[in-house]
Amino acid sequence: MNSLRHIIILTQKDLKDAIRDARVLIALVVPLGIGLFYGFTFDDSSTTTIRAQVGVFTTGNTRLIDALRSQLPANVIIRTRNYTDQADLTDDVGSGTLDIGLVVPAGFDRAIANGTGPTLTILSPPDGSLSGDYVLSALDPAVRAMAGQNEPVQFDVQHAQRSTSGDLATRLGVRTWSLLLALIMTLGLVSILAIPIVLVEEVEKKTIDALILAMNYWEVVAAKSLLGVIYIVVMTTILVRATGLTIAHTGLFVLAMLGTALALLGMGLLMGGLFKSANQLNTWAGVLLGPVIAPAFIPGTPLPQILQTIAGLWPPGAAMKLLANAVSHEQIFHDNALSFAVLVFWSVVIYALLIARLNRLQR
Amino acid sequence: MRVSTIIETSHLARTYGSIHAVRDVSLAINQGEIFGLLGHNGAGKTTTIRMLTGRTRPTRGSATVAGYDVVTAIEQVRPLINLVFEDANLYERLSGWDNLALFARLYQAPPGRVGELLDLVDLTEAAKRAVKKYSTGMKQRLLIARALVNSPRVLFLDEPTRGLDPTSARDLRTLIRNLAATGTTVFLTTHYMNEADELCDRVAFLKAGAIVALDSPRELKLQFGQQTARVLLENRQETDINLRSPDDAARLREWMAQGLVRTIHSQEGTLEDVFINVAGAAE
Repeated sequence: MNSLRHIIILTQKDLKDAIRDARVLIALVVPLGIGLFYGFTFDDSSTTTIRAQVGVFTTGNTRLIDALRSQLPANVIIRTRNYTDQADLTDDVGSGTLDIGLVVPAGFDRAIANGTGPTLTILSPPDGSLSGDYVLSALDPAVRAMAGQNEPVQFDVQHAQRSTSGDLATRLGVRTWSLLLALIMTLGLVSILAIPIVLVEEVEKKTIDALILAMNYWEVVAAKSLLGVIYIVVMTTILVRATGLTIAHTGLFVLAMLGTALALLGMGLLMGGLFKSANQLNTWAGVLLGPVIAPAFIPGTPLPQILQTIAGLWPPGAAMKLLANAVSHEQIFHDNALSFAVLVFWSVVIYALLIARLNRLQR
Repeated sequence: MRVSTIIETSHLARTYGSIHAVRDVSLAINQGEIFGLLGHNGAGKTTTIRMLTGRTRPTRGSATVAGYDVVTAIEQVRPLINLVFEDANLYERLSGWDNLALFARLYQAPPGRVGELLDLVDLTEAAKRAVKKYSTGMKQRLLIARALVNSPRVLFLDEPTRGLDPTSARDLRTLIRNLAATGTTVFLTTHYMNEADELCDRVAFLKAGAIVALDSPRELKLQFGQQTARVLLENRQETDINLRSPDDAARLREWMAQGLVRTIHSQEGTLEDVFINVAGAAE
């Protein structure tokens, strides 16, 4: 109970103190920034929302716009602006303010119903407009409907399932795949850079000597691990919320993140013992981060199977496989148990080494 | 007055591989005593403190603080001791208040203890300022305040006045004396012999990890100092005379009878002389 109190008190101190260290702040912000950048740059959705500005000049009432809306697919949204002067409408189409302009003659709807073939004038911008083209293509079926005519052909558009033979980025979508990499970067930078810096600084500045008059070494290390878990939870929540990353299996996602965090934090804390100063660690962490994070890029790529297997036996590789399954409605990798076993194995090995090291320090 | 032993060591030793950092330290320090451990760099002072504060396990021998073994009962020892480190090992980005509050919470100090200690070391006005903006003297005072946060029965000080200006050093010595007057046992190491002389009830000299002399500064000075007097004659000639020598006594009487003596200065030993005598040259 006393140990838990010590751990919480030290973690609270670190939450207040460590974030003021620019090196720690950068380790937190960089993967978040990369994740947000990918999140807003790429788009995995199959349909993109198209907005069309439609100007209408008419002297009477018409159901044309309603008929148009009913013929357009759901992802095409039109906004109409009514004009009382045809010249103004022509100006706005010419300036590109509108995607398309419609000049509807008086008695248009009645004329259609009577089959007298009224003239509908369509104004198109000088450089054309993709959104306007969508509206234009819907005009014919719209006026046919108004005339009570049947379509000559009924189109049935269906979205095909993603191919299961493509690489992971294709199957998940580049955006989702990039966001998973950003999450693994968060895990890596917090575990291999931020937390070891916090621990090494305690040793370098000798503040740990004052701490261990009041608590044990292992309590200090546990407090640093807790700080790492808090950073990872906060950064992951921000990234997932801000990018709207869809998680199909929340339990699997949480377990994969925590399991990987545990293994990598242990690795970082163990590694911290090799460095004499936080600046030295900061310099070398860039070199060490590559081999730690790189295996996350390998699963599901066209690289040779042997490389895929090796990558899957390293925590970030196993994490990528588990996270890919967590965000996908299909099971992309069929070895969740093996991936969890990899995380458990590394955690056991790393924490055994860490405990051995702490016992040596305690003597 | 009943005197109780608060620190006791018996043949305490610590080796690192083939290096004998501490060979044989046996001590008994009384409650409320100011005790100085002196010696060259590398003589084993810091290792002795590390063992007494439970941060390093002895290779041989034993040590107790308030009757608790520093290895097997360290959890009982921890609340009773604290240490002012040689280095200003403070959280520089945090304020003085936050530094003390952290340790006050760890030691479960009573509410109000932080403010009380900041008052004691005259840092109340600077309490909310980041420690990195403190002067060396202010940091040293904050280190003392931190070490008092749990009202320790034994306070260890490792080179407490190193790097301090004379005024700050004097203030610190006054504070140490006041603590001892309230019953706190003070165990200090210092390189300043006049400081040890002024403060300590007893001092021990360590040489190559073993105690080579242990007594009050006065006794040690008498034991190892010179028993001479320096005589300045009217002709500006200076002569040292041995106070135990009948011949020198006769010479002095003769000079005085002739009115030749201008001044006489006793040449009693200093603790520095004792240090040089017992600790010798640095290894």
